[in-house]
Amino acid sequence: MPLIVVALAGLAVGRFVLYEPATRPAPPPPRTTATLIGGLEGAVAARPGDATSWQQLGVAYVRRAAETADPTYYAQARRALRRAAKLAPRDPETLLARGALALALHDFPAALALGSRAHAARPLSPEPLGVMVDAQVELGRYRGAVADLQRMLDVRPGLPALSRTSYVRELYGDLDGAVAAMRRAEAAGSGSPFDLASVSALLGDLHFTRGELERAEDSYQRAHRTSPGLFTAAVGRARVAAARGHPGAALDRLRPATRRYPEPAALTLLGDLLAAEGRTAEARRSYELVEAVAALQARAGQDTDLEMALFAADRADDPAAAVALGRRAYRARPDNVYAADAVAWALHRAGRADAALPYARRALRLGTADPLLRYHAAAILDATGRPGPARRQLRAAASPASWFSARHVPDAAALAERLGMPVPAAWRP
Amino acid sequence: MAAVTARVAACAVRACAVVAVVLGAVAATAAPAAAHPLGNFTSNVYAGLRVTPERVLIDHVVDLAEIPALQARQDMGARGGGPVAPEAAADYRRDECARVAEAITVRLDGEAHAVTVTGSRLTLPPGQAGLATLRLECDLVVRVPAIRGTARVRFRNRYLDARIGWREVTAVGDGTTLVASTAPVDSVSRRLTAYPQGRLGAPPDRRGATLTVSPGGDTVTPGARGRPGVTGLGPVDAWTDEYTALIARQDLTPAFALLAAVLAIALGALHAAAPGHGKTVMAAYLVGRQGSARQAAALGLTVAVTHTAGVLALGALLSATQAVAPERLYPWLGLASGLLFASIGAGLLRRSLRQRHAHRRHGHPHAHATPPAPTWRTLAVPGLAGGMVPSPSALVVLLGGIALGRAWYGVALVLAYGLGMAATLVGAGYLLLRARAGLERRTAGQAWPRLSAIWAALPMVTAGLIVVGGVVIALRAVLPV
Repeated sequence: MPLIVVALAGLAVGRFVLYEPATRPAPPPPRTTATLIGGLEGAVAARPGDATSWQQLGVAYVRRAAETADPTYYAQARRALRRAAKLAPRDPETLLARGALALALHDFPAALALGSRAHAARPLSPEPLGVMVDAQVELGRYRGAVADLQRMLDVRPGLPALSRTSYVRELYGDLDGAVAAMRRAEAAGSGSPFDLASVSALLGDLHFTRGELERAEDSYQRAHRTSPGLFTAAVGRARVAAARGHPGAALDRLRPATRRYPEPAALTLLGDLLAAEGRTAEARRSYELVEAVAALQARAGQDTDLEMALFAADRADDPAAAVALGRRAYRARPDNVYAADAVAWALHRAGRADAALPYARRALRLGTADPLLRYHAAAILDATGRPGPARRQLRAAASPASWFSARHVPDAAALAERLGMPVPAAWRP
Repeated sequence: MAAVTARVAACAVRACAVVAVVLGAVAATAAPAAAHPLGNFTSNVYAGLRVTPERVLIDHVVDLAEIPALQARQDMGARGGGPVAPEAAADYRRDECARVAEAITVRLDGEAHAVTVTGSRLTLPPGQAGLATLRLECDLVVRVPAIRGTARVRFRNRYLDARIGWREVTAVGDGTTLVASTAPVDSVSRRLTAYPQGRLGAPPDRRGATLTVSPGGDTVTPGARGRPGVTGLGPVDAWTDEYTALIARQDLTPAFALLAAVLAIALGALHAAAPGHGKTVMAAYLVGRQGSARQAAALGLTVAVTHTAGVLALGALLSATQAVAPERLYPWLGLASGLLFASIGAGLLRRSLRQRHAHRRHGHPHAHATPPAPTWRTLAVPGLAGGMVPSPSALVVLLGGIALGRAWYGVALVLAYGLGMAATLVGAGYLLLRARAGLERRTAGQAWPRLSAIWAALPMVTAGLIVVGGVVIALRAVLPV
């Protein structure tokens, strides 16, 4: 312990000594993904036989898709990486890029295979390990994911490894540890403003889950400053406004954000807020957009069954379709806790709580500290006549005292009342 | 393909405008999918400015990809991706065009002027995944005080400026001349109808333009709204445009190749008949130097051969490197051609003055000052001067062929084009000689001292004309006209 303190103090002094005031010349304009793509498109046009340019172009398209939520770029990425793979099938960088694309398209077995091959070629490089960690987390192979994550941390404890550490800790129910890791990830920094801002927004999400709205708002604003217009930050700030009981302010934030980046989670939140306000027609329009984006994502080769299963279970009139989506999602990510939760919730909404129960139990097996997961389990346990465990889960959902969903918080409050529990202040309208 | 497109985007001469059209047609046939190429979330905005002496006309196009289009259709009250009521569509069209007009500012010498909507069109072209896209065209007009002297026009477009997408501005003078412009003349996306592949990741992001305008200049044919930015297209160049588009579309059957060659000859002939090529100067040369029919043929052929060689050389240069922009090259070629003509004229002038002087001194009553007949070598120089500026239309024919992956075909067509040019020029020279001979015959027997004096002065006059013509060509090449 004293050793750590001394080390940290030393680092702080070193930072102070090395600190350079703003006498340096102004940095060059940031190299955005768009300009990067422009340059690479020129490069592949000039030298169509250059595998490296195709591979970098593919990576840039995947990044652009992440930045804009626009699925069109996935098709472009696939085209570029197919060319790269044809020109240099064994090149580890190409394997890695294809692995990243497979992750983005939610083809996790392929991502794991590609990441492992890249890792075999470059065992000391953190990026292939990152792809392997993500793929295993999604496939529900948490033990393998943790082992590879440890290796990744050993190789390079930077933002990519630390932000993944935070997510794994969150999955295992260690919210404090998750916040600490995400803070370190943010401090580690990144050359990409988008990456750094995304980590700030994720830190905001963790604070939000813990009910720390002030800190969450700070983190989102930091994200917004680092990368203006980042939609995860805009959605986060809207949720903070809604949690504070200002649905009007939340809508004011979400509307322009969803016009610019019509990302499904943001549109769903917009619809839920509108529905909670009784503005059903407008809510339906928002949901209609979600479905249109999902159709485009499917067309671009992206599998969004898990997200759409929950969406359909709560908002569509066809519970059987939601169950089918959930089952497909679970097949694609066997033993992933969120996939199990999606099947469970879809079955429960279809009136089959008994069938849902085993899935709900699978979903809780890591002790994940997600109020929505806990609320889903509580409702299923209650519906199957288990008020004691239901109460326990609902208490867990309420423990960080956070407002977790415009759609479910009123239901959760009603359930708490029925189970004879005090309703948390954050759940009261 | 993408490299060619990029280069075309970079050049702004008339020739390149047509090349862009040809390539666009190729791209459209190569990728017929209804996909919105730029991203399903994008909102794309184009503004084509046309500056006339008393107003600025704006051709404003909005192309919304699937998701923004769905949002717009929802604003129109469409439910579940269903049809839009005609009245709702009309309301949307009116309201959005009004919003466009509000978002646009046009300042003439610092003073803002009102933007009014004069027309609008709305279509919902099909897109991906069974969703529609949306295309809204608004015709806007800004009345400005009559432009006298040089004026500065500043244009800003803030419509949908927070969205992601392609943003383009073009500007062209119509009865005015854009002395300087920060916006290109041509729309690389053909008014958001054909996005060039290879620029999708980094779309242009132009939200304004600053133009320096002076009155006077070519007028744009009314009704050419679909092709803004192509100034001063004479009838010949318009035909070239049609022609290259035709070649681009067709499969290359032998019959079609033959037809294309015949058409190329006709185009070349027509092109040679249009003003240019120092034809006036050459005619003066022939008349003044008492050329024969053979020499007229030689002169015409030299021009055609030089011209064809020049086109081929420039074409080869353009397809080999991106460092050369034709609009940079043309002024220099024009200047060289003009100076060459001027020096030829100066030489002729000096010689005829000397001869005249000699005649006077010897007191020979000589009606005609007969200079020595021009030799092949002396003919080659004016031929070179007349043919050294490659015509944009021939260049377009060649580059069109190269872009289609049929370089040899392009070369063949340029040769045919040169053949047509030669036919016209030789024919014109021959007609000129015949006319002069006729005139001589008729005036030969008559004792008109004044006429014979004019006749005697003719070589001097034509030499002077050649000097003046050369200077004009050189000045036109250097000064922005």
